[in-house]
Amino acid sequence: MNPNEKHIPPQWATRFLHGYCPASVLEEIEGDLIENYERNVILHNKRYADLRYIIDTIRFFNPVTFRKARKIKHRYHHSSSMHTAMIKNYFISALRNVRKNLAYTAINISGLALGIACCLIIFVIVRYESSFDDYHSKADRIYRVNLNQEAPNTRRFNGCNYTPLAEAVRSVVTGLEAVTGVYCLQQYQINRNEEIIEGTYAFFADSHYFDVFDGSWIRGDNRALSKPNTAVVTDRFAEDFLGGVSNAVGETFLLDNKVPLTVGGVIKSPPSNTDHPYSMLISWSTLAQFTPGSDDDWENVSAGATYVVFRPETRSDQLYPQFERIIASHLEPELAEKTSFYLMPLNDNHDRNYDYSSFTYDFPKPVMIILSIVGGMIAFIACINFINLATAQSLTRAREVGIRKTMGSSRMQLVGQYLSEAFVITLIAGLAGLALAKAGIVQLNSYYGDDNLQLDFINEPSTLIFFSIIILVITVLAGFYPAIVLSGYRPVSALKAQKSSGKQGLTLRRGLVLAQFTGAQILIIVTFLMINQINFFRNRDLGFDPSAIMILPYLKSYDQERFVVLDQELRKVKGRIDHTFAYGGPVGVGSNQIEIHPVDDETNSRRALLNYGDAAYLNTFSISLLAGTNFTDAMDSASSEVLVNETLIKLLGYDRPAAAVGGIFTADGRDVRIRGVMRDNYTHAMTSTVEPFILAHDPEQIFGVAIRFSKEKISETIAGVEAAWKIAYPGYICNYMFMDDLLNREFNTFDRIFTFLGIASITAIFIGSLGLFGLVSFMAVRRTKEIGIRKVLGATITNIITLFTKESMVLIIVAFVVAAPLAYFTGNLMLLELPERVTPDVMIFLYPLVISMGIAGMTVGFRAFQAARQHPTDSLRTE
Amino acid sequence: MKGTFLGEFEELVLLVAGALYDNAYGVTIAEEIEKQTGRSVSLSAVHTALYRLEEKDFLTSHLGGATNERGGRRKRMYRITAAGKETLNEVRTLRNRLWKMIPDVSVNPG
Repeated sequence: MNPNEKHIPPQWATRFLHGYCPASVLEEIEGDLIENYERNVILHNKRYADLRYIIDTIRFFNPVTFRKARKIKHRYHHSSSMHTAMIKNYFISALRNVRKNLAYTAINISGLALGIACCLIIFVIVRYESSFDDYHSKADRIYRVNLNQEAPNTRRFNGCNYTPLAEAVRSVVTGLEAVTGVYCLQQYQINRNEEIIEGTYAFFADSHYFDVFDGSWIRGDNRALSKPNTAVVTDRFAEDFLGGVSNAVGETFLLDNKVPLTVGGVIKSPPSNTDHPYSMLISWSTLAQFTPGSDDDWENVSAGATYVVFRPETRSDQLYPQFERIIASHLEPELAEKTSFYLMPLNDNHDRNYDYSSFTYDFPKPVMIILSIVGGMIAFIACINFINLATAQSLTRAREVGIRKTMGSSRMQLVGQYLSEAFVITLIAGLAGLALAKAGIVQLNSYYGDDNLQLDFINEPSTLIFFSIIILVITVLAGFYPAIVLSGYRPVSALKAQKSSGKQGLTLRRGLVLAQFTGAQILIIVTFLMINQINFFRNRDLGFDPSAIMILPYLKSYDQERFVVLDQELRKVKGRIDHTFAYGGPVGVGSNQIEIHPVDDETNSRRALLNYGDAAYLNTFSISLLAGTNFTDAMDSASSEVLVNETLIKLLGYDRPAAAVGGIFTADGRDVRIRGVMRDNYTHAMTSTVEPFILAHDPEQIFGVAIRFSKEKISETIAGVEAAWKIAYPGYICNYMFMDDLLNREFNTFDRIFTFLGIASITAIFIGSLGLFGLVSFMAVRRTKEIGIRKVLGATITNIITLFTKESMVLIIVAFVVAAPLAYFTGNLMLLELPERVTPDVMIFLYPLVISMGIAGMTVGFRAFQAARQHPTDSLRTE
Repeated sequence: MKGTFLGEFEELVLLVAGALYDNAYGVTIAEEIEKQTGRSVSLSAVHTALYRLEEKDFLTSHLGGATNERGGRRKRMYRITAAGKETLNEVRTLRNRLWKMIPDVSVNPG
């Protein structure tokens, strides 16, 4: 055998070795293997040497090798990516980079700050709204007894229940730790020493109230709630109206001009996140004086509610049979059959279970989810800006990567370096976002007239945790991709700075911009869809002008003498056109739901709306009579003759209004005669369907006055109405309302959502445009020479602007094509809860397109114009 | 005493590494063992033993300078430590003690 002959070990075994063997021990192992191989070839033969080589390469694949490899690394490469000195270095170079590219940093930071601020505000809102009534120490065992009742075509869910229920539950039902009943006055007034004070949320509560709910006494104790004509006021109430906590006990005042009350205790004001935001608790025994008969009323459900606390071992299925017995023993058999109770956890009231009414307001869970998604979307759009700008810059930084790698930087170190840059930027943005969110929350609080929302790190550690998580997630989301791309450059090609490397990310950048504008346009289109929906109903012709109608809803009870006085005084008011003593208006507000059917045909039962009014009703609401006669002023007692609308007579089978006059049907179990037929008018604020409507005449059912006035001298008219009220009701506050405000209440929830969606979509578009601006600026810098040459060759400024804006415009249009169907779908999903949806027209979709193209076109065009205006001699000279 | 336990092969490797002194690395150790014992040893077994002995602090190592042999790849050179020598000593003392305890009868053949 020729010793000089070169023998090569099996290459596949070598490749295998290279595949698994850690770099730190590869050299020594491979060296030994080769030496041993050569020795074996000489001592034995090639076949033997090959075999030994293969066996050894395989046997080196064992844990000891890897352990050794790790050890060596630790011992010899102290520049590990987690070393403190290294981390310091990362931050120093991150800060240097931030300073070097101030413009890009500013764009990144402002975008991310907006995104983070949105997330923080939404977090604070969601946390506040989902915290309702969580603070009670027994919160997880408190249940409200809700009422389900079958009505003809529907099921009615009621959060309120029969007022005497609490007493019945307490005496019959076992397995409960405590039971309490409340009765809520959402608005009340008190008269004290000639002074009239208006308040919200007084609760009649029994002495077990604090066995169920938390509260802390400042003066007095639970016994106060068992004495008749006794009120327990909150410290805030005492400060505001009674001259301080220490003076409060023993004070007397008159509630709603009906019931004298003596203050028997002072209690701390409840927090705002409760369904019982009481300013005053009134002893339960006083309720019988306030609304006589209510304490034993098993026929009507008004404002009473019953709460129970389970014993720890109690399950709700043990209680339902007992409730069935209460229902059977107290309700009319016919009603009892249709009635059942539902035990709802107290915490579900505000957010999770919005079928049942609350004393305050509901914040449905789906709304929270939508809010969170929108917040996330905005933050994501901001992250895309970062990714786009970082990859666009990658060409400039390729050299840096090349040099760093040549100097011995590992890929992990580079990833760490770029991630820390992302972290520094996100952190600065986070602090700016924090300030923005603070300002936003102050704004929100003043908008809702309270300071419920708090961005507080110290008292709410969850906020701090959320903030940290957001910073980390955004750092990784925004920084990871650029870090991987940048650190992946090979030193040789990076140092050669091949032009192609800038193009690599182009498709990705386009895709990301597309995603940004798709998201932003979905938001805008959905906003427009909802505005369209609401405006359709808000702006439609009701037959009368709701802003020219004033309502006085606070006539306490039937009092013929006072009505006459008020009537006479109102006639003197300047600007008044007509007024009617009526129970609400024709649309939505103040109607009773009743059942009607043809006489002797109960199977054909229908739902209808019942309202009470007098002879002036038709004129006040500009309703024309199609047949029959109006009520007359001479009528002064309940009449069995009613006015009905067209829909109702069609239901009863009359084809002409005239034929219906004189017809008799049964309304709410009473036979009534049709006196006249009114033109159809919308009966609901949010749908265009017209329900059968009955206007009955019964002065005893009247609780309000509606006044139509000319809008020329509104302030004089208001003053006149107030003066008239003072004469008729000297002890009462004049609580006038305008009909349009009343109607708008129905739209209020939607208005809030619009405001939010509107702000969100503008923010999204703004952030997206910021990103585009950054990209175009970058392109403009890189293509300075190209622009110069083009201009020398005769290109106009317009040509060059087109060159830059064309692509963005195409991207936005493509994004629109993607966004439109998605938004249509989402929008319909969001409006699903509404009884009727309006078909949007094309313009709804075109506006968002025009808006986004306008905003993006302006930002991009502005930068392009700057670039295009540069003189060729300047731009060609840059080197 | 855990950690200072020496396997039979490890002891052999440690002894050879001590004996080779300035020229102890994977291949020479394997070669020497083959020469002394006549049995064939695999290189990976020697390496594994060396790494383990180094973990136990019986050996130290450093990378030698590059040579023209073996494609310019450096060698990891080993040297026995004081602890290594001490352990070998202990093992020998133990062996000797045990040897002395064997009665002559038992070594007689048959």
